[in-house]
Amino acid sequence: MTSIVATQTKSSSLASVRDALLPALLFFSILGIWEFLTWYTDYPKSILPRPSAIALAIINNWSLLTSNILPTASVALGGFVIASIVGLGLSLLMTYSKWTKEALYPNIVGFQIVPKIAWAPLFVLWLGIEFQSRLGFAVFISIFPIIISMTAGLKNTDPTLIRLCDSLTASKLQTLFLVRFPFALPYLISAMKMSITLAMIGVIVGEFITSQQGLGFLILVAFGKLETDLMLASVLFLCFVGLFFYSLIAYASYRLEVWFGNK
Amino acid sequence: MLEAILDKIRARGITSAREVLLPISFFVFVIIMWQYAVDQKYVPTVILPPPGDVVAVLQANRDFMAGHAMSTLYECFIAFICACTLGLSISCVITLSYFARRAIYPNLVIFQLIPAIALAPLFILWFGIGTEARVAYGICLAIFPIVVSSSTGLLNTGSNYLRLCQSLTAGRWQTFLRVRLPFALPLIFTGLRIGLTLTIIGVVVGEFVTAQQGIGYLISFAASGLETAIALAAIVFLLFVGLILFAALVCVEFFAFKIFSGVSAE
Repeated sequence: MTSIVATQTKSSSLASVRDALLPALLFFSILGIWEFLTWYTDYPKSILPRPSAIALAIINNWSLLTSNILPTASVALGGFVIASIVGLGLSLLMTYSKWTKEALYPNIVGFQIVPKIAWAPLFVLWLGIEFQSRLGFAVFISIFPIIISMTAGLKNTDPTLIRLCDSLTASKLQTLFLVRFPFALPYLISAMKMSITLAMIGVIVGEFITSQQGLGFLILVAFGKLETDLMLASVLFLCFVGLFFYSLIAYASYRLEVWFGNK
Repeated sequence: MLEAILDKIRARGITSAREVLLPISFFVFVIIMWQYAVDQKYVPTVILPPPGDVVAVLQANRDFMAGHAMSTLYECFIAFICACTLGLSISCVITLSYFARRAIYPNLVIFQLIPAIALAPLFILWFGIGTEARVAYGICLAIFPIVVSSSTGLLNTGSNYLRLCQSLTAGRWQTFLRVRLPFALPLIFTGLRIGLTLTIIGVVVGEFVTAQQGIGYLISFAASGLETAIALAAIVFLLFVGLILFAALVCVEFFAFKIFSGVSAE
């Protein structure tokens, strides 16, 4: 019996090792083939630099890259926070006032159809070429998922629970914090994950259009000078920024779930 | 009894009339406020031209703008068709081959983390400033959600159904066509819808970065020339491009559900 259990755990741990190794193997073999082919065929560095050249570009331009993280990251995070707060406020308003909901909600959903990326140049025109235009655009682009999912979450709370609260004479605020909000939390979390990605997209597109700093700006400068290795290095840095934000939100949502007693 | 039902219908009629009228009146109210704010010179016309100006621009430059819209529509269409074909075939491979699934799937999820929007200049470097660059970029943006969501759908068929297929000695392909695919349709089309949005984003951003034609080019050109009315009119045209593409996708979705519900009923 114990031997069967032991072999089972051994085989399952073997399987999990293989599960981790196989994708890593594919990843590194692609990197290796990339490195080898570009080296062997002497492929133009300006079109596709070798992975080692990208690593070298990161080392050589370390201070340039790190100094451009903050302008991009701070605007993206600021936009996300503003969008979350305003979006939450709006969805609460729409949950508690039927009139507001009926007036606003169809318009918001209809507005969603317009490809929002197209508004980027107008934000530059409205708010100038400083960080305000990028912040405004990041808020604009990332607020919609928050409003829509949060409204859906607050609306879809189990009606029997609400009725129970009513019969126990809970105040509206109590019902909100003890029932509706915990119920809507999964909706909010998935919306926040979508929203931070969109805020990053908004800032990067804003930096493409007009900017004097930031990783998106650095990509465009490197593009102009045909320094493709620096371009890809900036993209890699953007990945790290995105990954950092994503894990930040994953952690925050875990804490929130614990706090509201969902876990 | 009858009286009660009639009352109910009457009440329903009033609510549904309110549900239609309220959003429309809010929309009209916003337009009127917009016109009023411009008339009273609270905002300069360069920042926000009156709605009448936008309509005038739309009427005067209809053919010119429709040409740009056609170019964007064409590029989005080609990119989306390619992304669908490629994305769905990759997810078929992932579903049918255990080995490919283990090797490819985690990499795909990691790849999704790359802010693909930042790659726009790279595609122009690789494919030039023509249509190819924007189509390739649209494909690159759209393919990940399509692959991830359709393979999630194809892999998560209820295990009872799969076991039933096995016990009825259905082949891998039979199981795939008759059980996995019909089950995965809702998720596949969710992925396709996200993919379509991203295709449009990709083409428009590609046009922002460098293009000689298309709605994105028109918007950024107009905005840099402080021609806000033209930029807003171009956004209206982009809305139509989006609506046409989405309507086409919804039609395909409708027929796909019809065909495959027939298969599963056989």
